[in-house]
Amino acid sequence: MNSNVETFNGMKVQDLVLISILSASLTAGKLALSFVPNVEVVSLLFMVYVVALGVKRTLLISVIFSTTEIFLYGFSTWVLGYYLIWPILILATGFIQGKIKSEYGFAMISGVFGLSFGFFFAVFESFFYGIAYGMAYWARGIPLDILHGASNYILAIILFNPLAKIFRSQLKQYYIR
Amino acid sequence: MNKKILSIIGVIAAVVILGALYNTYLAPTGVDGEKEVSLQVIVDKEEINEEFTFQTEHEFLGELLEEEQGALELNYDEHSGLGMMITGMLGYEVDSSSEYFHILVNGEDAEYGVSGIALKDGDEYVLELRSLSDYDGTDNGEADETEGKQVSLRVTLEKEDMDEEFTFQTEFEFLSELIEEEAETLEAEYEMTDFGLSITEILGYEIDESTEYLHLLVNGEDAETGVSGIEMMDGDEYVLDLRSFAPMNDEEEEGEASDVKEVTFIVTIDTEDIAEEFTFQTEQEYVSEMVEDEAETLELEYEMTDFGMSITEILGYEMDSSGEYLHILVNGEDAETGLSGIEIKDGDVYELQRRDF
Repeated sequence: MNSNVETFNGMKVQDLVLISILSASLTAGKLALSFVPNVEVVSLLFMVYVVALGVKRTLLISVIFSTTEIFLYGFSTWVLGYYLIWPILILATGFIQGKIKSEYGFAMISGVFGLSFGFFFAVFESFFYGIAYGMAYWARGIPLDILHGASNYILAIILFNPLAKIFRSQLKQYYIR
Repeated sequence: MNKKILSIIGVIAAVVILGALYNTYLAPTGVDGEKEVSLQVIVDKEEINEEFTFQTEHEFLGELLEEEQGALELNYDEHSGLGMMITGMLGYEVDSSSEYFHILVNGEDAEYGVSGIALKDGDEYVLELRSLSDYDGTDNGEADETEGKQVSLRVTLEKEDMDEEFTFQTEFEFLSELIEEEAETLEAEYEMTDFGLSITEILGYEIDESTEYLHLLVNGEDAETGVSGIEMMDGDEYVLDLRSFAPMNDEEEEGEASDVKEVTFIVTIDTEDIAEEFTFQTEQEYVSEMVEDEAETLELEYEMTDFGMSITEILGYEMDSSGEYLHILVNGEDAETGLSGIEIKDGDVYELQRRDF
């Protein structure tokens, strides 16, 4: 079978396979680090995917990833939040990628994203449970947000460039555009 | 490379500083020393309502609960970052998909979980089982509307020549919650029954439940439920008026002397498409007595409560007392009392309609 054959909405078989594998990698990456509170590679991988694969494919990966979360943890309001928050990171990365070349810019985005993660969910949960709940949720999670932001920054500053480089070279070698 | 290491060190330093600021200004801080606190555990549906008093040197409620795990029959999960999540108390296991233990600190909703609540001497903690849907209802988006609701409550005790009106600002949803909260102002005593809150004393007057009751009016209309079923709206006016039941077993001689009366009795259960009409000849004085006599015809099950007869099953339909009731109409008008208080008159038409609270 020719892997370049268009199958669905103009997508190639290799796109479908790649999106599946990369969303599975995100889930695996998340589970592998789940024993450390708020230290995760999901943000980093999403940013690497954006610079290597583009916004559209990464958005599709985020949908699969968020849906997999429902299968793993059941349906809840925070899962709905996932359908919004990851696309926000992806779009932000897509927006800055042409403007920023250094890993510092991406690390900053990742750090700010981690810092505001709790705030985003506090706002989101407020729609369901009220502002008082949202405020309490956010205040209670501030230490974890600080940890999240710092770990995101450190992971991105160390790993963003090497991962993006490997990704690009692997895609060049195996992925026929 | 040096620049990267420097930036990482900078971030770690920022974390330390931000963490210290959080601990100084935002984090809940405990208080040293011995404290006496009370803890009330309420699971209404299991009729659990127990109060404990503890002397403790712990700083946070979570630590105290952990120590008293045996006495409280406590089960919990530990969540990283969120702390202790109570999954069971006093033998009751929480169904986490639909309910949770709501925490009140001195009557106010807690802002933290038990692990974040700093113990203070004299504090009163309440852990009350609530359904998640209640939570949505109170705090969801409508919170702003419910905040600052102003309602008035007038209490009239004609025989004591008392007539007092109170105005309350409240965030509670139901009238019973307001009465509970303002029990001291209202000089009220109450008990929790299957039908919700039942006032036994108000303005210092003790109600004789066998002969009188507090009739509730909402904006001038007879209430259709008890205080626990009244959802408060801004500007509502409530009246609690002391009224007398017609005596329940008064003077049998009068009963003997009374004539035979013919009445119509209609039962409507809308959800089951049941609508049956009966004609009864009776010498009884009160509807409850007649209904008791006709229990077989009406396929009736009932229990006697402080408020008189309460029907639990009729025409084979079992009532769900938590969500519905039998509304009584006398000659097309809402009844002012229960069946035990309605005096039978010849030609009367009584109707029992199933309604949702």
